Amino acid sequence: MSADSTRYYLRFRLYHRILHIMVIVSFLGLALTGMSLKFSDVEWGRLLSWLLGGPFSCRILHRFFAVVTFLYFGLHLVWIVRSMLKNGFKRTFWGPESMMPQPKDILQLYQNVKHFLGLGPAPKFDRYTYWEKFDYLAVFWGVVIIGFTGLVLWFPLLFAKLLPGIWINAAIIVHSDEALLAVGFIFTIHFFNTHLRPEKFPMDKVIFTGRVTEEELKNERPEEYKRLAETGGLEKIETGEPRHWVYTVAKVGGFAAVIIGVIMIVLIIWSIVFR
Amino acid sequence: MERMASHPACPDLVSRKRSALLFLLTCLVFASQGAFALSKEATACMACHSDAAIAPLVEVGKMDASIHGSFDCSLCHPGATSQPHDAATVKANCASCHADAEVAYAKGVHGKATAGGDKAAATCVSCHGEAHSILPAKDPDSTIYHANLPTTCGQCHSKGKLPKSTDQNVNNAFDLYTDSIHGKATMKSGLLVSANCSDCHGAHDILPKDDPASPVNRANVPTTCGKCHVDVLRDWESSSHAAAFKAGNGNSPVCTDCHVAHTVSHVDSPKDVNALMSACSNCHKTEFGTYRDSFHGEVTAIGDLRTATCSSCHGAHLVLPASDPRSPTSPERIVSTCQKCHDGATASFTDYRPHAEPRDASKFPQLHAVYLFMTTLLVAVFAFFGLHTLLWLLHSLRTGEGRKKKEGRDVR
Repeated sequence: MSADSTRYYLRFRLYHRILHIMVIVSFLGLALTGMSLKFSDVEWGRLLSWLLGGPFSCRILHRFFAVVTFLYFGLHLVWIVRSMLKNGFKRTFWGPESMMPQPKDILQLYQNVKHFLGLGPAPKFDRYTYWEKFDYLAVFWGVVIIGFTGLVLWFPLLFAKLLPGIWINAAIIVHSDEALLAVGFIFTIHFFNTHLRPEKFPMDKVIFTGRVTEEELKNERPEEYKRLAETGGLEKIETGEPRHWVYTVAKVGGFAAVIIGVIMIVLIIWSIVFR
Repeated sequence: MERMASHPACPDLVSRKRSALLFLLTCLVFASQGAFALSKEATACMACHSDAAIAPLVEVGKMDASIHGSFDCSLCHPGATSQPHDAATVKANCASCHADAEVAYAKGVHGKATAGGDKAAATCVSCHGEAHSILPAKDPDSTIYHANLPTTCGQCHSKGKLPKSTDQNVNNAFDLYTDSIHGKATMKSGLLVSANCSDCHGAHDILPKDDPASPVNRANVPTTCGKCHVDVLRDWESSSHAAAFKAGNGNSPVCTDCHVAHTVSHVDSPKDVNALMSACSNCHKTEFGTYRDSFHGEVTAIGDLRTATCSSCHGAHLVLPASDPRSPTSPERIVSTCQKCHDGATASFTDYRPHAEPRDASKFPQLHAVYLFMTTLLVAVFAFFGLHTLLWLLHSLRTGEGRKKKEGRDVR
């Protein structure tokens, strides 16, 4: 297929692309500064902390990235409200354009596992696959849980006025374990599902460019393609090819993030197994 | 000027006049240099022994300035009055005057080694200097002057001097001591109240530390250190550590268990603090583990001392159980203890458990429930998606879907 005839469709708007960049930057920042403390009993944790200026410098950086997190979370809530006002409650929280898990997702999970085992065809995915919805909800839940417990640890005296101090202990367990879950999940499962699996290796740049080719849309999300073709939605999202600099920045920045994440998760797993 | 009275005899002089003149001149010269005051007998001995050809050479000036300067030679060398004499017959015996020192020396490690035939073991002159130039201990040039003693002991007790088999703490004592707070104060600052070797070990009767009579025996260490550190000793005496120690718990710490003897230093560097806390962890293993799991312990592990260490909350020398109202961790005092760092800490804030162990269901049931929930969540998510990912990977590799799709993809 020649480059001229390649058709591009817009999958992610600029707003969402920017929010995802905020997620990447703040998540990596929080992971590095937080894990340097959690793994202060092993050499790489202390080295990492030292590189970042020591534990009290990490504390300032951690809180800065926490503020970025609260900011993107707030901006995302604004988007949900906007969607509710524009598209209505039902379209926002149900149907093919919603991030809400639905019976069809359970079915497609079942079909996909069967497909992996060579027992059936690949399910026909729509705009969001079940694993993408899980990624999204995991981050949503993660921000709420880690964010809230993080605030407890940021303002322990204030929270101790509302609840007994032992809740601070509980907040520490939840904050730390949920962070381990988030870091572990993003740097292994999310990275594999989205970037590192053979079909996409080394990475899928759609979250930075926002654009997919017609071929990709047809193959990976046949239901969405069919639905849009039938309702005339395809023309509405047709767009030009991604700008060259965006593509380059996505390649370099995205890959750097993946590398940092992979190195970190290797060190974390190694420390948990061998400590 | 009393010493001036004994004028050195001069057999060459024949004229009384010349003699008187010379005497005056001599007095003048000697007065300007500090007079020699050798006895008549000594002066006679010096006729030979001031010459390097006839050993031993006795330097008149040094002999005269020494604490033994006015003595007759025969006091120490009774065998030297007859001529001719050899080294064996004139051998000096310090014990003829210093009987008490001799008795003490015979009891100590050096005396025993000498008696056992160890030629390298310290004798009187090893520490007090060459026999004819021994100075009073208070003289700043004396080898046993407070600030000089470590260097004197260090002649043997420093790296590489003693046989390799010797205990390193004995072997390298001088090198360790010079870097310690006692060593720096004594040797660099000339602080005479700072401990030198003999303050802790004694002098003539130095005993090995496993001897119950040794001042550095574990049982005697608190009293020995307490000679100078009076307040610290008083605090320790009232602590749970002292109570346990006196009750026969040999593991309960004395001074040297936390402050390592020769290297003792100000506990201010992260390295020192962590070393000290690891001394606490020798017995308080569980508590140290939970401390390291907490924010306080994680920060100090990295090497930053702005968070609490063991002693920040428990005190250092006056360690008491929380049930004792005097303890900083007692319900009576815990709020003010936390307030040392956490301005505005309340009773509710102090309900935070710095040593919580969520894995312990009996002590911390609520935290254990939280811990179980989180662990289950982690295991479930990773197990489910781990398997999902594995199946996906195997499928992709088996069908070669990766290659197929990549070829058809727009690769710029």
